[in-house]
Amino acid sequence: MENNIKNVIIITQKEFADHIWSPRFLGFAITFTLIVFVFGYQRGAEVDYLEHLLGTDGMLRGFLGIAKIVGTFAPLIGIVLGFDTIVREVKSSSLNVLLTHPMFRDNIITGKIIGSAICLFLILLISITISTGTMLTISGVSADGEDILRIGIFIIITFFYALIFLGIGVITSILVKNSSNSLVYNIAIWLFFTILFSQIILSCVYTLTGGMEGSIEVAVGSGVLNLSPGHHYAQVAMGANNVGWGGGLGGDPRIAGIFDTHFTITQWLTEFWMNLVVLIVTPIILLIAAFIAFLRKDITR
Amino acid sequence: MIKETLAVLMIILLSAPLTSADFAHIAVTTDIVGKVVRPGDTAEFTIYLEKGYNTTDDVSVTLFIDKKPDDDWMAGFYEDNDQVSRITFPAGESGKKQVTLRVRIPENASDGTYIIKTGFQPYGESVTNYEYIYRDFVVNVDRNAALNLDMYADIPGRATHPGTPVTVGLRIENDYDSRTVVKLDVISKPSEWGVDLLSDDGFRITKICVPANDEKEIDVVVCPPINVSKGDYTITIGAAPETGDQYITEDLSISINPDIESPQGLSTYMEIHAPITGLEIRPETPAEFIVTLRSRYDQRISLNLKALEMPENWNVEFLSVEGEDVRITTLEMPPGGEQQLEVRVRPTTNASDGIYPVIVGALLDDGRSISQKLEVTINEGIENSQILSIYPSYSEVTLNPGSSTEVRVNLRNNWDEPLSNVQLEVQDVSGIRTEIRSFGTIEELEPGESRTIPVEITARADAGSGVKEIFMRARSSDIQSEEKSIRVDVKKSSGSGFIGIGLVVLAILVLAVMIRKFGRR
Repeated sequence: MENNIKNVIIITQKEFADHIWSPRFLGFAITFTLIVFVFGYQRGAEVDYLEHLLGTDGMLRGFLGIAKIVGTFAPLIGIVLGFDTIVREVKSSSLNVLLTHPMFRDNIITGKIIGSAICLFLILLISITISTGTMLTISGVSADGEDILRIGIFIIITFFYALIFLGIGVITSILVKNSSNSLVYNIAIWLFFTILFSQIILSCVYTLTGGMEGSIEVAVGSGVLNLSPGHHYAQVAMGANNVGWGGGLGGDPRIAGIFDTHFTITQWLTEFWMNLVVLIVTPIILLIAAFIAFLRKDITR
Repeated sequence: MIKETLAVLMIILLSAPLTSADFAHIAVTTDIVGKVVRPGDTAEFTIYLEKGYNTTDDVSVTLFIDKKPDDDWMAGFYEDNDQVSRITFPAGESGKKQVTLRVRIPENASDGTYIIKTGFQPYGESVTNYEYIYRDFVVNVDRNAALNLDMYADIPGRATHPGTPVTVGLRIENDYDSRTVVKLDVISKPSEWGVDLLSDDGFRITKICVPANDEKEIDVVVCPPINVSKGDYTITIGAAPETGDQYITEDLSISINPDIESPQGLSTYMEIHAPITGLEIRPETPAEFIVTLRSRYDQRISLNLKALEMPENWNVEFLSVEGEDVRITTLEMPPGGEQQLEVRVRPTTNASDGIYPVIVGALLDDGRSISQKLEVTINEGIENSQILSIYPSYSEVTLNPGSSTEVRVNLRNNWDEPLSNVQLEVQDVSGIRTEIRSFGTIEELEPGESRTIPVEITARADAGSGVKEIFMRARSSDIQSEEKSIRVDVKKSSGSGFIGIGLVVLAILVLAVMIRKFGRR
């Protein structure tokens, strides 16, 4: 058992190190941080607009803006971290070499998933923390302990949301034969669930009902939106229906997400606990599925 | 010898009580006992009653008319205008009392001499002599006797323009000892001339009551025709006792001269009056005066109401007292009519402090006018008398960028009438956003009523540090309150700055540690 843990830690550490020194990943992480910072600062300055429309106060106004950006692009980090996790090792034959050591498949997949997850969490933590700190320093906007707590919860929610796409990426990398295909499949999944899902559902409802009126209500009421991770993330983070196109329409939530300071965190938790459960359970199921798939995988080239 | 001495003493002692009866207890004295009067007149005679030597006992006296010409003659005794029949002199006092014998001569009394015999009878405990005291008074009735009335004009001769009325004051003096009703008449005047006799309060009169030994003044308004030719004209005014036919007269000489300048004033026949001629206001508040117009014309006249003089860009309105919204430009005055008007003077809002005269007038079509000067004092420093006042709950607040606070502004109607459509106006300031958290305007604010309006003040997240001032005022149609301000001190939160730097440093440290710890490949 001790050896297994030690093996997992070693694999985790090496996977983490591979990611943070990967130019491809570094470039993407820096870009993401900049996007978060720029949008956060810009939205933070748009006091009138945000206050009138969203009713939040203080520095959290900025985070309502970046929640949409993060909800759109954070899945890409998960995909980037996961799409070639296994297929890369298979293609380079390093997996076979690795398995010649006293190292088991479960050690390898666990370590890789944990390493990628830690890296994913670190990127989210660093990018959002740096953005927050810079906003506070430059604007002088007041922030209290609860604001910081809400930002922390936001980071964790975003982490689980991105973890879903990491799990999808890992599964894809186990199932497909090369990295390119894995990337294409992952991008397609990301586009479908994150960007286009709401619009497709709305278009379907529109086509079926023959009118725009009430389409959003029908789409929300049908529960189809629950199939999209973006829907659950948008609910808990912004109180919106989805993060992509058409996501901002309709859905008049009582609480406008974690940054709605008109309500306490407890009230927010009571309102959105179902969405939170989905966000936490889904990546776990996906990672278990990846675990099983990898154990059953034929690792010959 | 002894017998003779005793006899003398007895005589002396017995003679004392007998001699006391020889002195009267009451003395009746008069000064004038005869008067010349006219039938219908009242003759008065003064009688003095004096207590005699005995001052230790009270003494009364009965007064009576013993004899008068016939029953139509009225006679009586009066003290302080009260008819009396008995008078008492209290014990321990001596003195003199005056009573008046008043004799009313009948209208039908023929000329001649008449005697009124009066009697006085003293009585009392110590009075032993009940003899009557009689006094005779003589009244000579003479229909040709001169009246005890006098009449004279203050200015018996005046010059005027054809068609322009003139007023002459006339005094009627009553020298009778009793009040006299005097009938007045215009004895003679040129044809087509108007002559009116007016009392001091402007009413036409035909009779006037003049107290005894007093005088009364009347106005004689003479209105010559427009087409009268140049020259001197005489108007004779007569006055006579109400019951008599003998007049005393006064001639008034009116010189008509078309060459003299026609007086512009209407003051002879018109009067304009304002009980309050000065008001102190703020520039945004109108001054409201009540002006009364009174006509003495015999005919209906039309008057144009105008502001004859006022500061530039000011506005003067003539409003009906009954309905404030009705503005009046022309007024039809009935004969002897009176009309109250509200004159609303509205200064320009930028008028500086000072005293401003406003002359309002009523004009006839021929250009003659009467005017009233009103004074409006502009004082921006008036606070307590504000019709509409506002009181913010804070005069200064401190905000961090992005933060907000709520200030409650109290609006109060200090007027005695309700204010409608009251709204709060807040001036925009760069970097500060204000939001009035109430819907629309206050439809009506009753006298003395106040309302509180919450105003949210938000410092924009990009607002620079420093003090900014938000100005606000309440407005109700043409009335507005004084301007109040709230100073907003925008301070960047140094604590947030430190937290931000701390977060950045923490993130970099975490990244460095993670890379150093787990970054080895």
